[in-house]
Amino acid sequence: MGVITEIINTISRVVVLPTFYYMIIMSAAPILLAALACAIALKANAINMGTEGIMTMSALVAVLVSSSVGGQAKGGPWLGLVAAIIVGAFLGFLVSVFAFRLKIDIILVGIAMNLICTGASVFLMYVLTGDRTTTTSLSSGTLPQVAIPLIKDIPIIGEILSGHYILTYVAYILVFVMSFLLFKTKLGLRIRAVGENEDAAESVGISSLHIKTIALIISGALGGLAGVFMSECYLAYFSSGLIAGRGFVGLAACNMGSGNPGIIALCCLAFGIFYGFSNFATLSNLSIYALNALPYAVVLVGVVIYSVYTRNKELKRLQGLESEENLEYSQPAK
Amino acid sequence: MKKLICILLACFMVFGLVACNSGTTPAPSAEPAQETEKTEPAPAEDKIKIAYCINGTKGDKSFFDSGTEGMDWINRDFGDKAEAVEFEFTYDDTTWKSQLENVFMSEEYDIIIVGTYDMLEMTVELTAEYPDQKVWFYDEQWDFETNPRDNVISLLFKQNEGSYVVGYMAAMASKTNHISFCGGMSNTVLQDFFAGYQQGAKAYNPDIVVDETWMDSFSDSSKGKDVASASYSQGVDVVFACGGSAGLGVFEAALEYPDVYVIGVDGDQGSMWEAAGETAKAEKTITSMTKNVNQGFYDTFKKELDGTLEYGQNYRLGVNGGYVGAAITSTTENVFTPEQLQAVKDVQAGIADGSIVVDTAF
Repeated sequence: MGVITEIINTISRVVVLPTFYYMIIMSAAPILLAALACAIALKANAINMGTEGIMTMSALVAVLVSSSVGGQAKGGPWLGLVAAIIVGAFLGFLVSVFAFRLKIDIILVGIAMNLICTGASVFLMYVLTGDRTTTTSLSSGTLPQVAIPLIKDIPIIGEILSGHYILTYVAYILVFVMSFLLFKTKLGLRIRAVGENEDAAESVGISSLHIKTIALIISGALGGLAGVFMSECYLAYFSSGLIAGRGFVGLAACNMGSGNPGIIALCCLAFGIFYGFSNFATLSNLSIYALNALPYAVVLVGVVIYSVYTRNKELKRLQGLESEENLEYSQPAK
Repeated sequence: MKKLICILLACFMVFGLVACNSGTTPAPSAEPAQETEKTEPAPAEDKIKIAYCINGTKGDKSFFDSGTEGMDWINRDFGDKAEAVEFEFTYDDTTWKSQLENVFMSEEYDIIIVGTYDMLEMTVELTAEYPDQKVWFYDEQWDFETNPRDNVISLLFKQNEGSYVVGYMAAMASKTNHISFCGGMSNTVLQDFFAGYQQGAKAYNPDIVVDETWMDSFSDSSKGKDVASASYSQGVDVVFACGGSAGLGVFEAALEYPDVYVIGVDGDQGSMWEAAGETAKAEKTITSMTKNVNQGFYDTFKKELDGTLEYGQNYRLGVNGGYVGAAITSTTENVFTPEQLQAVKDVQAGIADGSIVVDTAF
């Protein structure tokens, strides 16, 4: 009982704080970007496992480029942003080269990408800056925070919604952009067609290789954006443990939403809620281990619930077909 | 396309090689075998050879770098009698045991220095296998009752005493009477930090609220930033950032709140920010609890030379002797009045002469 009252007390203490909601929006954003990166690749049936690695590498590149042109004063963060997106896109392209031209299993390519990028980023950091853990010796600066006019003057809502880093807003806007891209454009249709049935797409003259490559390049660029978010918004430097599994959480969120941007955004916000809660609740007497595991446990439970739900839906659909049309299904698919 | 990739890769490798060679700090060899080749030709038979095993890498700007500095001092001042080398085991903990075994097996070194909680178990095993090998184990309690070894000394830094001093200062600097401790992972050493910190704060102001928060990581700075933001937004105005590079995130959080302060750890982080040109962070850093591993190693080596070092026991290095303490920077002098700084000195003196007994988690 003591634990339950403690939990209730903590929740009631935390939910009244505007900074809690600010943290939810902020901490969900990089995961959202990573999840969107995975989503477009997933829709093209080219699972991009390497998002974590792409994020790591582009986070470092952003900091290095930014500081080399002179940091905050000289607009370094913006150049860093551009460079990181380019590097991310290039790494995405590299995944496609290995997976589709050299015919290596795409999951393995993704894992290799994560391992290489983790190692190479530390190596590059040491070679270029002499530091091995963080780049705090470089002054790379951050992207600007944006105060939204009108909204910023509303008492509590302004505090929550205004004053975020520009990439936070970009991340949430990208949800709509991605929906539009996937479901309303020619490219989106082709990506989905290739993802659903490659042979059928090929038969009407779509080059699945091209479409998958394009999807992975966009995926890499989004991963790059997620990396920049970590090293130029969340923190003002790169460190070797900076990404801390956010690419993988994004991958999980993407699978939970089966590549659907709207649902993905909700999953990321759910993660953000529990992540934010775990940070605020560390002041209470609750076990910190349980608290820190909470966001990840929520993702896991979410994935399980979702897969059971989709399975049941599929079964029902098949049973419906059976009774209506008297079709004989010896066995429901999957 | 293939050509382009080849050229890029070649450039990357060549560049890497060149940059490595021109580096100012020569990277020590991670392979004991290579080290042997290098040292063999020297007439070093009568020199005391020391191997400092770092279960991480140099460049952490605190703990391991400080220890390395201690090795440099030994080489500088006792170059004719001793020779200290460092081995970096990197952060891949799966290889630590075999690397440490290599150092033991080479039987090249008179003294092996190794430490931290993660290395304890394997060192316990290896010291039993090599009973003639002198080992200095630092920064974790060695239980000599269950593992009696007459070839081992254990160097323990009394982080609780240093934390008492900075806790006292935190309470002095706090205007909201609400301070917090932001630890890495909740192990005994970190608990020891907290015990001293809390006691020190309460000694200055018995009514102060001292929160205990944990990041559950030594490397994830973003987590550090979020945990500290949560504290600052709930009225905490001094946070003791105590968790390796994850703690660096606390400084980022402090920048976003007015009139709040951070206390650094292990090294003098205020001066570190100053040197890196990050004046905004330096101005938030009122002090740092320094753990002078360098001084600890250096003085222990002097004892070894004198023959006064007794193996088979714990050495506890505290405020007395300056092994732990509070760093004074220009920010410290701006925030505190001279009278307050004098009070801090009195507290340090009190701990050193034993009139103040500090709680410990051990």
